[in-house]
Amino acid sequence: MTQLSADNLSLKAGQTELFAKVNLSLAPGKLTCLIGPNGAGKSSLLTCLAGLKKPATGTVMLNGQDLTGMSSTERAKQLSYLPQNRQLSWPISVEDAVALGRFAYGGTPARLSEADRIAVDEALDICELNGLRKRATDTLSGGELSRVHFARAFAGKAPLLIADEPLTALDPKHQIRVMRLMQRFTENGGTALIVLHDIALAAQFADVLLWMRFGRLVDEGPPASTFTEKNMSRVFEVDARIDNGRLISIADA
Amino acid sequence: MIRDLPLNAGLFTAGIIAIFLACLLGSTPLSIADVFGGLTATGADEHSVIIWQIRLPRAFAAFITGAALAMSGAALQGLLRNPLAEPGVLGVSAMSVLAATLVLYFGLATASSLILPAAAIFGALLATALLGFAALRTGSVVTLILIGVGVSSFSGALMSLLLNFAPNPFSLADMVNWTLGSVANRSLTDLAYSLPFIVVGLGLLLASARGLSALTLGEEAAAGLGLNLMHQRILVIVGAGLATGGSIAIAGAIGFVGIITPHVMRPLVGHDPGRILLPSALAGGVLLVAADILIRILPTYAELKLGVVAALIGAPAFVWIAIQKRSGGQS
Repeated sequence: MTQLSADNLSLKAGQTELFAKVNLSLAPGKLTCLIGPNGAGKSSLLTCLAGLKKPATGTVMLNGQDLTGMSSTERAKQLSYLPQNRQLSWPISVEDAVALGRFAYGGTPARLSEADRIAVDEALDICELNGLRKRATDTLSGGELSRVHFARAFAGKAPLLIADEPLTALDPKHQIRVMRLMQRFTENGGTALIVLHDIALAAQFADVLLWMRFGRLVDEGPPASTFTEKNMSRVFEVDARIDNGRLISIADA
Repeated sequence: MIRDLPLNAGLFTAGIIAIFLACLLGSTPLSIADVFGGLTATGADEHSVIIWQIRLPRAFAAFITGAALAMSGAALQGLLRNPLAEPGVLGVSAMSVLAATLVLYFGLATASSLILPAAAIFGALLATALLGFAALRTGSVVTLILIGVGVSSFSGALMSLLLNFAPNPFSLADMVNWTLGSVANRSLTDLAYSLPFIVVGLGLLLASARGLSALTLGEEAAAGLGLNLMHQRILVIVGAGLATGGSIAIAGAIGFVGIITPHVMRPLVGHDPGRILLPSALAGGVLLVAADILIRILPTYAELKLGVVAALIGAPAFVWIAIQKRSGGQS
């Protein structure tokens, strides 16, 4: 089981503090959702946890190793990261885009080993993209494109997945489809951390919720105990009515 | 690159045919047997001289220049994720030509045959390094292209200044010829001074191919895949600088090869910015050899310059590609 933990993590952009004093430990084999209002520092925190930005203070440990000391390919084999930007610069085919997930293993769309090929096929299968293999990525719908990105993440076989707002611009059906993919990933032993803006979906699917506000983690725990009207009020500044773990309504505070 | 073996083999064959045609065609009519005789030095001595001292060096110069510029263009496009990037557009060529002209102006080129290539490469590396630093500060490719336009204009202004102060008509003609771009009257020795730099440059660019493929997903995602962005930038910037500078030392400024060739090759390699490098180089070489043959056999009263023809065809093509580029793409 993959272990990712952060100790006293902070990051600044110039003089502005993006987040500070973050301590967390991801539950192995669980789906953790990071939620909080715009500008809370969620994306910055993710890039730090993914090892793409060096924190100003603190350390991130991945399976007992300091993340900043790991080589980029070593890190990528254990951790895959899906940024918010889903736009591809060139209209490459679906299978080529998924093959990029084998980068850390030396694979490229031009040259795939047998192991690479099997991993790509499996990932296409899981994400139900088999019929779209040869399609150019610029002809896909938003829902299909997001599955392509999950497939390329799964193709790398990393046991830890970090995704930044993977549901943006998806309709409810595709949102649920993506959440089921995540669920399946964790049921098979994967550990996932995702930023979500849809709080109802987060409460429905997450094993653990991380509540973030003004660059600080303010609460952490399963939806049953942390998805409360009080947290909704102090983190999102809204009046929420929650009944039996279900969001009934949201109103201006 | 196994996947593109048929394409690359085809382009390689086209290159050999083009170079052979370049030996065959010209002001002195030669038969196919004459060309073979000249190549193998078994025929008449004059044929050997025509082939080995005039036509072959010229064809090689055109091929190497085309290959270097086209692969540099393809790699810069991959790095900046924009089909309009190219050594000429980004000001790399202008800066390189300026440095070479400075050497000509001060008459330093006569001191050693290495000085001109060195200056051209220094100019090109200076410009690519500038772009590299700028790329760190701004994420916008449009800004980078505008910086390139600025560098180009400034280099052009300094060039005009040099021409303005040219000490005599001969050096003026020398410098003007240089800026027009041509592969006429190059010897194999001239090529030998620039070739090592170009070979190293192209090698670095080929080493960047995997990273360029990964960059299709954007810089953040590519870094997440395990790509070291800093290494990648250095590979492309130094590689393109060496290759472009080396080609300019051979032929002067020849624009737009680096933009048209990758544009034509892109659909043939599934739009993969890594796979496109080698086919672009081969096709760029073929393109310039063919263009140079055309220039030689066209009956014009003054010698037509390769760089002039390239710009006449290339600039409208650049505008065409810019218009075609879907507005929904990255900026």
